[in-house]
Amino acid sequence: MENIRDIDKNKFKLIQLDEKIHDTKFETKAIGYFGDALRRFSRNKSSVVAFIILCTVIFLAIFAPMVSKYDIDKINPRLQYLSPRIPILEKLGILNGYKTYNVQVSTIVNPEDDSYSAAKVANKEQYDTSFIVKYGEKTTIIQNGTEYEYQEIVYDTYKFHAQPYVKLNVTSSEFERLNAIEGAILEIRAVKGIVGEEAEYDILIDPAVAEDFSTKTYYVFGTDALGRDMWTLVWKGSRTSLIIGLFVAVVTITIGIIWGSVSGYYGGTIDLVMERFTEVLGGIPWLVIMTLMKLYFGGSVLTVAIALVLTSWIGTASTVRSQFYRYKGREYVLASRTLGARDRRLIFKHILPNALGPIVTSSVLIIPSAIFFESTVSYLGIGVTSDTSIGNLLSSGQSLVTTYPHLTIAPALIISILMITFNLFGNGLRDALNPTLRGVE
Amino acid sequence: MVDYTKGEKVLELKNVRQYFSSGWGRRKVVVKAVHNVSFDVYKGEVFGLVGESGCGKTTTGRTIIKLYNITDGDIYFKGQRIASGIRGKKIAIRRAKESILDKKEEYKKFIIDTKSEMSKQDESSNEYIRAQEDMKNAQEDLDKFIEEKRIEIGNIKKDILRSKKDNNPSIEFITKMQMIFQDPIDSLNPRMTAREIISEGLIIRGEKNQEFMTKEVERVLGLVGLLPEHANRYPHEFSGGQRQRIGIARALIVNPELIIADEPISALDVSIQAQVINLLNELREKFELTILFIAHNLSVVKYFCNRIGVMYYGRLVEIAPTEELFEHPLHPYTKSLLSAVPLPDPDYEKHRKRIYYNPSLRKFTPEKPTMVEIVPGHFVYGSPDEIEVYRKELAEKK
Amino acid sequence: MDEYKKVLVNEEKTTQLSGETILKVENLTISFRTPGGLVRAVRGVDFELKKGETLCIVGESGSGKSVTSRAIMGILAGNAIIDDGHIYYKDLDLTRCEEKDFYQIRGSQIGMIFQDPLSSLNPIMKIGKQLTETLILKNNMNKHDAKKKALELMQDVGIPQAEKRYYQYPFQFSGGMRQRIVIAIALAMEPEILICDEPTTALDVTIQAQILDLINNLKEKRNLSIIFITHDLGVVANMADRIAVMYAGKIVEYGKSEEVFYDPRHPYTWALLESMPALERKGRLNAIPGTPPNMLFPPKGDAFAPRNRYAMQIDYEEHPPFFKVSDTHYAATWLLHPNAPKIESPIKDKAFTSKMKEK
Repeated sequence: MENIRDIDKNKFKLIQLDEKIHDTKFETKAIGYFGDALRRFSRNKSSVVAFIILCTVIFLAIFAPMVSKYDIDKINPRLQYLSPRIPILEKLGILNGYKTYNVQVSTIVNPEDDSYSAAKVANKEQYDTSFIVKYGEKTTIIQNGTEYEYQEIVYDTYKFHAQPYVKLNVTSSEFERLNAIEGAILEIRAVKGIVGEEAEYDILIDPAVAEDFSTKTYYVFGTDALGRDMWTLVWKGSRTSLIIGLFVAVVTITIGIIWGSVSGYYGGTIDLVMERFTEVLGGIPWLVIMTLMKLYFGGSVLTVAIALVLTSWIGTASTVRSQFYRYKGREYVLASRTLGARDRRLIFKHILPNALGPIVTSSVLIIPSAIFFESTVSYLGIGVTSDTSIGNLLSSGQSLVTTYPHLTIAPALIISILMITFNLFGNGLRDALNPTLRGVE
Repeated sequence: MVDYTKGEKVLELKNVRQYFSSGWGRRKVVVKAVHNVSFDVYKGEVFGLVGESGCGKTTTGRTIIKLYNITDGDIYFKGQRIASGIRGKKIAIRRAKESILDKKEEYKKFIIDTKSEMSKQDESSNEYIRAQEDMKNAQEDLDKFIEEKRIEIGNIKKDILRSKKDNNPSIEFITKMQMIFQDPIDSLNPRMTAREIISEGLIIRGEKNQEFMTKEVERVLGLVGLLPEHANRYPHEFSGGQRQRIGIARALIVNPELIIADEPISALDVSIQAQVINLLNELREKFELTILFIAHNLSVVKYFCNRIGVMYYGRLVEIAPTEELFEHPLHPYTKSLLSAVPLPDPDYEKHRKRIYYNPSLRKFTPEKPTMVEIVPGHFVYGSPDEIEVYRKELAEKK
Repeated sequence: MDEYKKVLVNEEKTTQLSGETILKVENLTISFRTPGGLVRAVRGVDFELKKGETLCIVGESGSGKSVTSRAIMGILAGNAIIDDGHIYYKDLDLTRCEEKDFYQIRGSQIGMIFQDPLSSLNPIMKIGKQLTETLILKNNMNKHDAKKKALELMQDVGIPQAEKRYYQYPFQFSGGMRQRIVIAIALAMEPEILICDEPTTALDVTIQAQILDLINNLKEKRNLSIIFITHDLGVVANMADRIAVMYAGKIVEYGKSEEVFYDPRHPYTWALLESMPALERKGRLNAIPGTPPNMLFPPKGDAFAPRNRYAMQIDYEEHPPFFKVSDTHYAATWLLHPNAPKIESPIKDKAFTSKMKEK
C-alpha cells in the first residue's frame, strides 16, 4: 500500500454512528435436507455407479422377458444345454456356442441323440461331422471288463442342432402344419396308422425352416434342460426376486415403523411388553417358519414373501424403536410439546423425519438380503416352486455345474450384481442421509 | 430496581418435589432432583433461578411447564392450579391404612390381655365388670378411629381426583407459558425451515390461513432482529445467536404471558449473550412479560433479574432482590457462588479470593431447617441457630 | 530426532528466535475447502509466545482462534490448506512438518487440552490406562514406573483418592474432574507449551474457577508457556499476561493484559468489553449488533466495519495495518491514523474500575 499518510482525509469520516445495524442477508443459497443429501450422495462415486447399474438391472428385469423372442413356456428338449453364444464376442473365440465333450468313439457321430443313432444305424448313412471343430485327446477307460475308448471333441452346438434330424411320432395336425411350410419336411421316414386322422409320422425336418433354428440363432446365456432361453429365464427370475424383495421391504417397513414407533415413543410398560413379545418371536428359527409355510400354503411367490416378512420385521422395528428413543428427548420435540403438540404431530412431524435416515438405509438393505434369502430357500427346495426364480435356476443347474457351467454362471452373476449394487447403493444412501456428516469432506 | 412484589402473582410453587425413580424393589434408585421448593413470581418481573449444574433448576423449569409429571406439591399459574403431585397424598393414604391396621392389632392384644385377666377373676367382682366396660369402650374407640381414618382417606382420594383434573389444563391456557431452551442447535428441528419452526404454535392451534401466518412470522422475526428473508432458511445456516433468536420468536408468536428461559445464553459466545439479553429485556418491556430466568452465570443474572433464587442440590437456599443478594449474601453457598464469578479486570482477578462452600461443616440440629424471611423479601434456608447467625450478620452490615 | 533436521528452515531467513520467544507465528493463512467454496478461516496472523507467559487469544466463534491452535499442533481437518505463513518452534517450521515430525512434538513438547472433557477421554478405557499410555509408548517406561508417575500427576491436578480412582472409568467422574484428568494427560510428558482451547466453556462458573486456578498453579510449578483460547473476557483477565484479540481471521489488537483491558484501542475490543456484564458495572449492556461475516466471502476492508459504530469510509475500502500504541501494544484500526477523528474509548465513560478512572 502506498504511503499511509496520503490517504484522502474524507475517508476518515464516521458514517455509521447512528444507524441501527441489522443482521446481514445470507449470501449463500438455501439448501434443504434432501438437497444436501443428494449432493453428498453424488460425491460418492461407487454409490452412483452402483445406482446406475442397479437401474439397468431393474430395467432389464422388467422389460427383457417382455421383448424376448423366445417363449419360455414352450419346452424344446432337443435344444437343451446349448452353450451361450453372443453375436460379436463369438468372433473373439469365447461365448461362441462351442462345447468341449468326451465322446465314446463308437458313437462319435451321434454324441447325444438316441433317435439319431437309431436312424443312422437303420439307414447306414454317413452323417455330416462338420460341426466338430477340434479333436482332442483319446483316453481309454475300462469298465466291467470292457474297454471303452473316449475321444475329446470340441463341437459347435448350434451347428449340430442346425442339421436336419428325424422327429418321431408326429401327430397329423402337426404334420399338416409342417407340411404347409415350404421346405420344412425333407423326407417322410415312416407312417404309423391310417393316413388322415390318427396317423403318426416319422419325418426328417430341416430345423432352419421348420423351427426357425439355424446357425444364426443366438442364445446369449445358452439354454437350460428344457431348451428354454437362459437369458429370458434369468431376467424372469430376477423379476420374481425383485418383486419379492420390494414386497418384503415395503411391508416390513410399514409394520416395523408402526411397531417400533409405538414401542419407542411410549416407552415404559408398553415398550417392555412389546419387547418381550418380539424377543420370543425372534427366537423362532426361520427355517422352521419357511418349511411350515411351504407345507401349508404351497410354494407361491406370495408365501415366500410373507415368510420373509415374518422373519425380518423385527430388525426394522428395533431400528425404529432405537431411533425413537434417540430423538424423543430432543429439545425441539420438547419445545413442540410446550406449544401444545399432540403425540401424532410429534411422531410424524418431528421425530420420524429426523429418524428416517437409518430407517431408509436399513430398508434398502432389506431388499438384497430378501433376494438372497429367497434364493437360498428356493435352492433348498422350500421356496418358490411355482414360478421361476434365481434360486430355482441355481438349484437346477447345480448338479450339472461341471458339464454345463453356463446354467449356473448366468443366475449367479445376476444375483451377485444385484447384491453388490444394492449394498453399495444402501451404504451410499446411509452416508448421504446422515446429518452428522454434513460438512465433512 | 422496580419492585413487582406488590402486584399479582403469576406463578406460585408450593412444596414442589420432583423425584425420578428407576428400577424396582431392592434395586430402586430415587433421584430427588427438586426437593421441596417454594417460591412466587410476580407479574412483570424477572425472577432468576441460579445454581450449579445438577442443582435442579432446569428440572424445576421443566416441571413448571409440565414436561415432567410433578411428583409432589402444587403449582399455580395465574391463580389456577395447573400441576399437583399426588405422591405425598398416596403416602398419606398408605399411612392412614397402616394406622388402622396398627390400631386393630392394638385392640386385639388389649382384648386378649383383658380376657385373660378376666378369666382369673370372679364373674361378679368389680374388676370383672370394669374389664367388660373397658372392652366395650375399646371397641367403640376402635370404631370411631376407623371411621375417622376412613373419612380422612376419602378426603385424600377426593383430593387426588381434583389434582388429576387440575393436571390437565386447556391448551389455550397452558400455552400462555412458554419456554426458551438452552441448546440453540438442539432446540430447532433441523428438517424444518425457520418459518415452519416459528409458526408451529399457530399451526397447533388450528390456524389455517397462510397469509396470516406469514405476516405473523415476519412480525415476530422483526421483533427479534432478523429479516423476513431469513424465514426460508434451515437452522444449520444460522449462527448460534440467531438460532436462539428463532427460539425466542417461536415462543413469542403465541403471545405468552410467562416465559421460562432455561439457560438461554449459556451456549452462546459472551459477546452474543448481551444481544440476547437485551432482546429479552426489550420484549419484556414491550409485552409486559414475566420471565423466569434459569442460569448459572451470576453476572448476567445481575443485569437482568429483579429477584434471585439460589438453588443447591434441589433446595432453594436463598431468595432476595438482586441488589440485596449481591450486597448482603447470607447463605454460605451464595457467598461461594459469588466469589467464583470472574470479572474482566486483570487487577481484580489476580487478587480475587475464592470462598469454598463445604456443606459438611453445617452442624446438625434436631429442628429441620426451613426458609425464613429475615428481612422483608430476603429469605434464607437454615436451622434456627443458623438463622440467628445470619440475622446478626445482617444487622452488623447495615 | 535426526529425522526432522530436514525441515530446518533455510539460512536466508533469520529465524533465530530471541532468547525469550519460544514460538513465533508469522503471516499464517489457512483456508478450508467446502462444497460452498473456499472458507478463509485465518487471514494472515502474527504473534509470539514468550517463555513462562500466558498468551490469551480472544475472539468469537468463527474468528479463527481454534484453527490457529490446531495448525500449531498439526491437527487441522483434512480439507484445510495452509496457504501461507510460518510457525517457528525451536528450529522447525511447523507448517512444513509432516505427520511423523509432529509425532515428536505433540505431547512431549507441545500439549493441548480441548473444550469438551466428555469427548476428550476414551469412555471405555480406565483413566489410569489413559494417563500411562503416552508414558509407556513414548518414554518407554515400564508399567510400574508409569503408574507411579500417573499417581503423582493425579495428585498434582488435585484428584482426591488417586489410588482408588486410578482404576475408574471417565463416566464415574464429574465434568470438572474429567477436565483435571485431561490436563494431567496433557502434562504427562512434561511439554513446555500448553495450548488450552476453551477448556472451561462447558463448565459451571464454580468449577471453572477451580480449573483456572489449577492451570495457573501448574504454570508456576512447571514453568509452562500457555496459549489460552477463549471468548470470555473474565477468564482472560484471570489468566493472561498478553492478549491477542481476533476477529474474522485476523488479529485486531495485541498487547499486554493491562494495556488491552485498561486502554483498548480497537472498536471491536471496546464492543467486547462493553457487552460483558460484570459484577461491578452498572447500566445497560451494549451488545454488538449483527453477526460475524461469512468467511466464504471475506470482506474487503476492515471486517468489523459493518458492525462498528465508529466505522469510516476507509474501513470499507482498505484493511488497516497495525498501528503502534506502545512498544508492546498494537491495534489494527484506522482510528489510530493521524487523520482520523479522535474517539475516546467508550469504556471510560462507564466508570469501569478504579484503574480505568485513573487513566
